[in-house]
Amino acid sequence: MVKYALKRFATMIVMLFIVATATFFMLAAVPGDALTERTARLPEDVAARVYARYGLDKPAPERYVITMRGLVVGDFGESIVFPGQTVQSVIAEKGPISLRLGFQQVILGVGIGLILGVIATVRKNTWVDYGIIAFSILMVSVPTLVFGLLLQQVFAGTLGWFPVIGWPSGDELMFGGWEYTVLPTLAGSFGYMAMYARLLKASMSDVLGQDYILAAEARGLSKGQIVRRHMIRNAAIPIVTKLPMTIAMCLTGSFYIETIFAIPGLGRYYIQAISGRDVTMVMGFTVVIAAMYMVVIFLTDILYHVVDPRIQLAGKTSR
Amino acid sequence: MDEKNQTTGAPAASEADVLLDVQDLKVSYHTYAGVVQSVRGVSFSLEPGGTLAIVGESGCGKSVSAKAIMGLVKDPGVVDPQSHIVFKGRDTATFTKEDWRSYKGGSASMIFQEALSALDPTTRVGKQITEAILAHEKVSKEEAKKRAIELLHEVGIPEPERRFKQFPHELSGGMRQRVMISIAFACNPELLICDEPTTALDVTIQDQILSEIREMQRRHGTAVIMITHDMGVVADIARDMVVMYSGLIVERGSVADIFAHPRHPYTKALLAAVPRVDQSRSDELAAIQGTPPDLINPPTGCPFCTRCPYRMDVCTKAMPSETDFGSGHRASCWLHDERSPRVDEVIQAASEEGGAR
Repeated sequence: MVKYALKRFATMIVMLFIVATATFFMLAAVPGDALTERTARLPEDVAARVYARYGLDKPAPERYVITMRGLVVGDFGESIVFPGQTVQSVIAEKGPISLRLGFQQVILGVGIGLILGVIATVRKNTWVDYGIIAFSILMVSVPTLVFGLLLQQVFAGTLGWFPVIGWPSGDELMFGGWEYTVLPTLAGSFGYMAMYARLLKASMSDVLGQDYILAAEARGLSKGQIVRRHMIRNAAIPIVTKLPMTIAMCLTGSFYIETIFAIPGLGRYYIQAISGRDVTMVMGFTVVIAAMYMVVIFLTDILYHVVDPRIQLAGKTSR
Repeated sequence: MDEKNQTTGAPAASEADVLLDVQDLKVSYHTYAGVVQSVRGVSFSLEPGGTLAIVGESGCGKSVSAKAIMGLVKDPGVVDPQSHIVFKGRDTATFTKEDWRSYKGGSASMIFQEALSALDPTTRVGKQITEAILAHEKVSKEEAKKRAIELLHEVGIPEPERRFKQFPHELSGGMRQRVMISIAFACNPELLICDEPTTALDVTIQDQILSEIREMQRRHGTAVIMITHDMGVVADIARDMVVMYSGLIVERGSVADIFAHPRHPYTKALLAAVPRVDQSRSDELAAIQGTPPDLINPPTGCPFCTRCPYRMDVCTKAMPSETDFGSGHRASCWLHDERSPRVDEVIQAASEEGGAR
């Protein structure tokens, strides 16, 4: 187990290095930079000083070395577009906002999705099942962008039940100000509902056809006991692998939802940083997000082994 | 065979010595292609402690019959409401939910073909045994665990305490099937249905498993229905047998009678297909030509007529009725009809040809 963890850790370092390198050179290859517009009307010597301040006057290989050295010690550098901001300060400021939005979306979406999945399985081949599947297909097909705008139009505009835009701040940052969070949470959770409803239905149906379910019934177990003891655990295997990824996704924020509802979260900031060629911020975020995904994947592999004892972690001798 | 031991004759025996009485069992599956009539009217009975083999090739309805007896036919399968499965004098059609639960795993249990797929891969084997005990008896968890370990020991699993805590994938194939046997006997069932319990195992293990089943049967006084396509298994374990073909019983009787004088051409062909030790390796193994009929549109006549070497005109037009050869040995074949020409010669010749040993 320890050996396995160490091996995975080493792989992660290598992968992070590759991600950082690729990101750096891709950004460097893009014509123009964050300062092009800002320095366009400045005298040449002033412009050169601005460039020198951000180190953008140096050739790419040299900047690469400086950037990578900074990454090792956790110094991602200062934002080029917004002076004084660093990756850490932005994450500390906007992270909680995206975190809350993401968690609310995942809890609502996955929760309802799993319930729908169970109902669709239990009521298989009835109108309830067809209804849930039709709903899921509709939900995955319509972009969140459209949902966001529709919800705003109906519930904030016509009915006026909720504010159109905005997000709780200050004391209410993590708890409270619910009326602001309802619509964005809802808009972002439909996709999860659809995905998990279908995923669970598929895996439950698969498990339902297995001999061990028939054998459990032949042993005299009640339907409830069979579902609780034998179906859920086996059907959970695909869910468990998907869930950590979903959580990771929600932490990185959702650009569309944050934009439509004017939520000052990470997703919107990241996209702005990319379009503004804010090289240091993009580098920093990319590496942080990549690292987070890698940790999540590692945890997923361990979880896999917990739910399904047949899966052995590499480096552990079987039996 | 005296009258009391007769298990395969018409369901006329008095209720007291009949454990299971199946009358006119019909099961069909509703598929997109049409209604598949898997079992088309099967009747047999079994006395307490008796052993009956149901023999036939894949798709003949033998496993479906077993599932129907266990109440395990699932949508899209439908058991015909006119069918009667009578267990200890009570028609299972009148069972309540509670009756079914105490029947399944309590009075009647089942061993499946592949132990690996019949055991939940994510649950420790011990728990799968104790949950069977706990489902039927009011005992403490510790008591159930003690019983489970005893059962594992009883079916010949070494180090039962350690095995109790293992997962199915950590056991060998033979060991898994032993676990299945211990689950099946957990609540002293009166009826055990074995659905090809040895098919997925290699020959030496097959033998051990069969002796284990026989031993457990003797110790617990359980009646066994052995579903198989292996004539060796039949000879080994059963006293009586029925031969099924395309959802019907074509021949029934004691194993001794049928092995000595198979009356139905299909039974003859099955027996002829058994490889023999004295056979030369260059000899081709005997096989039955053709394929079984489509059970969506079963033939009006004898279902075996398309593959039968002795086919007559009548075979394609009407179902033959059962002919009684005494002591419960019956076969459904037009060759045995009194109007059929030179029956004796044909049968005699066939017996010599098919069963020349």
